[in-house]
Amino acid sequence: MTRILVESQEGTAVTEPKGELADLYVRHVPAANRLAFLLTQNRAQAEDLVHDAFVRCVGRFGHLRAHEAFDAYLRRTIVNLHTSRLRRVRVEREWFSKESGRVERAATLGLPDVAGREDMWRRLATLPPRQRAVLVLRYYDDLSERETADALRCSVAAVKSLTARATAALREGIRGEDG
Amino acid sequence: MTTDIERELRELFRDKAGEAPVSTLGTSGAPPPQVLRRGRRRQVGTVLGSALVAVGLAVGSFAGLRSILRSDTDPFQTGQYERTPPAEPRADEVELAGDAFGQRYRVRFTGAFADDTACIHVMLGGERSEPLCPRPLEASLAGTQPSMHGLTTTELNLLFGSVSPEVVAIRFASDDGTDPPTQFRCQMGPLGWTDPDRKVCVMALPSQGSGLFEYLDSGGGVLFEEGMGWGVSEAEAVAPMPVDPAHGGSYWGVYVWLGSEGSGEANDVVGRLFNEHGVQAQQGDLACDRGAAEALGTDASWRVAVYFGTEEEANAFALEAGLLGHEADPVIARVTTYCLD
Repeated sequence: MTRILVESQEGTAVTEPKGELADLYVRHVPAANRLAFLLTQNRAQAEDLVHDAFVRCVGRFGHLRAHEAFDAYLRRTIVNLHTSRLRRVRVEREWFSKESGRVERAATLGLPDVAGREDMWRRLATLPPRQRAVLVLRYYDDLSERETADALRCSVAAVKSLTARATAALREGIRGEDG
Repeated sequence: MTTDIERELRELFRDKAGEAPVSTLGTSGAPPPQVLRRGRRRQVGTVLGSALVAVGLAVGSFAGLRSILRSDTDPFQTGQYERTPPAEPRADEVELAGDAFGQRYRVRFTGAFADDTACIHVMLGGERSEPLCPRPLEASLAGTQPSMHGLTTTELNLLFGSVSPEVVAIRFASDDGTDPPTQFRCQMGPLGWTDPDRKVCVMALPSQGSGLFEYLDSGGGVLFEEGMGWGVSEAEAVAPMPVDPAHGGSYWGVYVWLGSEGSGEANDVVGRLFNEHGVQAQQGDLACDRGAAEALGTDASWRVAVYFGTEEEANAFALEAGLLGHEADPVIARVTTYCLD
């Protein structure tokens, strides 16, 4: 099971968890949710992704002393989980089986009705996962090329290449529509 | 330097980030207990796993010591155990060879871990490269993670190195979604090449690409995965790199765009050069480049240009950027740059 719902049976009588793990969660997960949402474009998948990544990270960190490194570690895990083809297939299968027939409200929620921006958002979804990840890390998280390369576990040259390909694909899409 | 598409992406991401899930913090601002429980279980599992390994090592060491001390009683003679056949002696060195992308490759794994001489020798298309002897061996060749090194030519990218013995295949998923031809060879490495022994592998791929490598076990499970990019990227396709012009300096200028001030086209051209070729072009008054207007035969007042130290470099860039081939429209000029003080 990968999907965790806050409103499950155990969640009805919420007692505020205390402790280092809870602190870590509160400190890092909101930003991680935003990153994961930009990567997946889907709230439920983003939540799953962040929870899986968080559990993996705290499991490996053990004593949790290196708080300052946790952010980068969590980010890298999110990106890697996202770009993992096996995981993507599994999550998508689960998601579609659970959610088929439902209307995805999130696509337009809270945004002004800007057709061009929605087009760009849709085009981003068509990019390969690592191209999408490189754009999110560079232009949302404002990471340098070196930091992006570290997060994606690739070379700086690959980051440049991925960025160039991704932006070229987006431009091509815009040109295609204009033409 | 920010292009339109970068700006649009930044704004889009900023807006869309507001739609990210916030329900995980619950109504009281508390994190979901299920996730924390999973995290704690994982921590406990990690600690227990480490403890079990430590106990296993201690028990194994004790048992080994005991068996040495009691070597006068051979368990095999008692019929307690089946005698395992002796391991096949392996060669002092292992060679993996093949043909891929029109090139013959040979990779030899030689030397020994014990005396710190383990090295990899690569021969590609008849040319022998310098031996690769990464150090320290413990981390570079015998670590728990795959240790793959690369050699890229215009024909192919050859990866070679060592992986854990559990790895039976390497799968490559390209970032661009294509399924490029790949060739993979793997076998147990030379005895004592690393400690413990590892498999040695060679993988041939196209000369340029990026993607995810998945190291699979016999059940198809992913033991390790790593992202990698190689070859001349699109952003780095232009060599050599241009120079930053100085006031009063003499350069070979490649004039990529000519027009008049205020045209948005100049900004687009600067952005395109940066994104597609990884170079920072200069835009400004053409009159600041003494000798340019005459050499180019233009009455334009504004230019986007890239400067190089030699004519050869300027030609190489112009060729790469697709600016050459129109003899009636020269784009390269020897100039002295001003307006930069």
